[in-house]
Amino acid sequence: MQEGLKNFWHLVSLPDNVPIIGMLGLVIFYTWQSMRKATRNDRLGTPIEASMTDRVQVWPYLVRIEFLTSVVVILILTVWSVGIDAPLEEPANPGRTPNPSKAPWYFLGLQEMLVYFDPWLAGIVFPFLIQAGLMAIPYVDINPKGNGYYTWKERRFAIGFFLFGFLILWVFLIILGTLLRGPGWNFFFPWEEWDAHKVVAANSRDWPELFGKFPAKNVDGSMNIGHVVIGLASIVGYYVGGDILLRKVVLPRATKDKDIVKKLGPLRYGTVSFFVLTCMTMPIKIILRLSLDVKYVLSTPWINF
Amino acid sequence: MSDIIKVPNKRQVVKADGGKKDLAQQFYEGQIYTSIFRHDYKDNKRNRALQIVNNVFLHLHPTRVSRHAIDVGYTWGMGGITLLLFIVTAVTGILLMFYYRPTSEYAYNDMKQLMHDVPFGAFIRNMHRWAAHSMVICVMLHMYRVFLTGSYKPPREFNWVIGVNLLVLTLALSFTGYLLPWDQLAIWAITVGSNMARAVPFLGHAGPFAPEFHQLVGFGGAPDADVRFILLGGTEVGAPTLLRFYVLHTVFLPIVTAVLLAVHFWRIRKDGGISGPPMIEFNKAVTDASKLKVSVVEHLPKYEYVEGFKQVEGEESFKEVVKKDLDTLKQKTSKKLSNLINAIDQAAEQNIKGGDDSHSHDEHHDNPDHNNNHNNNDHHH
Repeated sequence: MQEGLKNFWHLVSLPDNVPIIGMLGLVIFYTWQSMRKATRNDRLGTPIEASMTDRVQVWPYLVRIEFLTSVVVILILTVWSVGIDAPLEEPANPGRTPNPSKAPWYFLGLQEMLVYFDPWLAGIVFPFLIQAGLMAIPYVDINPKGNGYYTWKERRFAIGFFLFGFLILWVFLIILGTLLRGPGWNFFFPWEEWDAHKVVAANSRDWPELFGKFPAKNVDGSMNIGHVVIGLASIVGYYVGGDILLRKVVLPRATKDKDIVKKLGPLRYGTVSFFVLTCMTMPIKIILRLSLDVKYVLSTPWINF
Repeated sequence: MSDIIKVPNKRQVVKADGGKKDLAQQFYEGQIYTSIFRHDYKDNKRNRALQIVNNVFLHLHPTRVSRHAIDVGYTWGMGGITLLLFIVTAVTGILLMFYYRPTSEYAYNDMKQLMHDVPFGAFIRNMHRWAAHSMVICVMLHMYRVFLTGSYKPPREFNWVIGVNLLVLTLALSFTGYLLPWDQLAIWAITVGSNMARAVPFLGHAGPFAPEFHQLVGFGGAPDADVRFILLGGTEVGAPTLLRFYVLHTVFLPIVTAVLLAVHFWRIRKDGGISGPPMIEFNKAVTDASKLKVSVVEHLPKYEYVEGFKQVEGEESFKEVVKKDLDTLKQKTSKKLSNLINAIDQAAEQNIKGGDDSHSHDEHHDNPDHNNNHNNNDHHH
């Protein structure tokens, strides 16, 4: 325990990890602050920002804020740069792989996905979808309210989903990857010692195998039709069922608008549905892995899901 | 005008005594000062506006913004801080380039020298790295704020898209820079990160359908003929990778980022400045009024002389002129139109009472859409 905590403290105080701790603090502070503003605006009816619509001259009222902010930021950077040296380890050695090998900290959320999905999904398709999904946001969010002020009531679904994606699937997974993943990318609690030889039960079960003898391959190496049927049906079923849930229950309730799907139209709604459901496969796969030890939902010779 | 800060009496005394100007006054009215700033030093609204308009860097700003736009509690200041950090990394990065050679023979030794022998070398490198990390964080927080305030909504949709691309560019800048120290941390982080490129469907040698695709076009299915090979310049992270990442990090990505930053800022202005809540009454009147286009030739020069007129003739007679102007206009126009003008008149009067005049405008040269600053909040139907 003592050794474990020591190691955890070492991780936290690594020069490259200091900014991550700072980020965590800022994210928590800003989330709290913006939610406080949102509830206050919702209670007031008209946003507090609307009481500040008179115009002020940029010189000096804005320029002086920018100047002071610059001074403060450069001051912080200076103190930081004097106090903490950027890391420089031994020279590059392609023959000696460190364990654990970690990507730069901002990609650790993506590296964490590798535990649950194959590289082509976790490393290529999902990052691409994250970008595409982010860019699609302004074009699928047709709610005219909540433009230019903090609110929660007027944008429940948008804000709720974004908070989930940003706080849990991005920030939390970065923290997890930075501080709680050790040798072999195994999970270690802060008080646990890093054991390079930790053995974790290998997960070799695929989803269809929970329903009977449906391994990905038969004994003779050929594809198991039952496996493919169950796997494919589960994936299609997830998207169809999830879509119905989203359109009948989640969206109308969250937006308090029975006709929201009709207002969105097929293209916009289809986009929302696809991105939301695909995004939710990440937490679902985590739950399946942790509770039922499921590796793949569907495994074929070409691709695995 | 109430907000003019009174010039210290001392100068006037000097003037009254012998008609002489003191040194400071000579300087502020002299050729050197005016050649740099293009206006004199007097603190009045006109000079405050000119201070922004006549300065290529400050000109990113409008001359006036709504009060909530300078509220740090609203904007968190994260976009501006990101720009500052970009500039800091550019400056420190250029200094680092004087000492660093991107070859596998020299890179690590150059780093060692930077950290131990070059005066302030460690300081500059530290600042480069911490500013870069901070920049990634600030971009994320900026995006977080923009989402929570719904600022991506019309008319700012496309600027959000540019912002997403800037986020990706920031990550790419940071990622390519991560390799340059050429130590164990660098090479293995980049190895882990770039290993993903193996798995690109069709184009990466370990990706789905790559062997089939390779048979078809002769590319994608082999370690020495896939996207990862193109990215790294080899089958693993090596000397060619270092050079590639160096060029991307110091030339290509910064240029692309700078260009997109310019577009990003320009679009902030064009889309109506910092987002804000609808300004219900005043805004509506202005929006309606903006539907009536006026010709620049007739109206713009008038506004340009407004400040001068006020200075010479005084505030009161200026108001009279404006009133007379509006009265003639009202007589000439239909009833519907005159109602509209009345509404603007009232709103404007309120604004004047509030200590601000509604008649001066932000910028002379992009006048055709100077009303956009007011009306964008009401654009959505």
